[in-house]
Amino acid sequence: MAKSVEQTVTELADRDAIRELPQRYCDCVWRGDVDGIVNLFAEDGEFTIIGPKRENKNKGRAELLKSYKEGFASLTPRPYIHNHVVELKGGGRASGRCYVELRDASNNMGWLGTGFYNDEYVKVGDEWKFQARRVQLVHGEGRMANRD
Amino acid sequence: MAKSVEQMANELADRESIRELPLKYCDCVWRNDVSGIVDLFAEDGAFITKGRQREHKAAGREALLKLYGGITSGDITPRPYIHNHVIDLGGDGRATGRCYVELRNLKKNMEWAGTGFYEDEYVKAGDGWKFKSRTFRTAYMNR
Repeated sequence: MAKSVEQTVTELADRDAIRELPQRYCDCVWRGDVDGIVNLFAEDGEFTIIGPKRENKNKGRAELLKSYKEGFASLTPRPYIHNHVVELKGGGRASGRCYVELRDASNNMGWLGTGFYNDEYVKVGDEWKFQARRVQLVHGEGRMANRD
Repeated sequence: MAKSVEQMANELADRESIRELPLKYCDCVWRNDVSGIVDLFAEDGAFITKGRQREHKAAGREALLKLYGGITSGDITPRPYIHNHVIDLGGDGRATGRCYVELRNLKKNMEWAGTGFYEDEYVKAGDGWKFKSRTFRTAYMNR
């Protein structure tokens, strides 16, 4: 059955809001806005870094604030996001994947590496949030090369 | 209160139109289309560059035409790629946004020339959106 205009517009608005999440995430990372980053996650949202040897997962506002603050104390990434694909699942849920390039503000903006995020999104009230972000580095240089 | 379909559609159209501005700007820079760049600005629109030591502002069509007319005359002939565009609709035909840019240099075999970001103000002019102001801040430039 064909979608109604209302369904179509609602889906477009959902996609637009979801598409903005990784963009705002990058904007916050560039500005070192840790509160802004964590506000993009649901209350029980989680962020997982998949390294070559182990996974590091943080869940919930307190853990996320702590891990991002610690992360920015040791790394100064400047990300650019690419190739964001979004799949709406209904019931206020969606998933997506997007690719990132990183440069290093502490090293004359030298190239730091690239990878991708596997995301889950959830609608909270009128807003979309990250339910989960799992980032996997494909290639890292300098300080990113030595991460486990 | 939930937005009506009409409100949602109008906001989507506004966001789409605003999102196109930095893309068209880059497209015009790539093609050295100076009048095309300036047409993206409101009549009294301004372009501001903020460096570590000084600031330069060009406001109004004539000043912008003069500024962008020199786009290929410096050490860098920029070829930009835009990223991470975020938009905040302000209502009443106003909006703000920020987007990040990487530059390559046509004069040096397209080597990576630097990066920075634009802090933008947008204004609705008729049915379309224009730059009210663009403020460029350098994060790093190869010298």
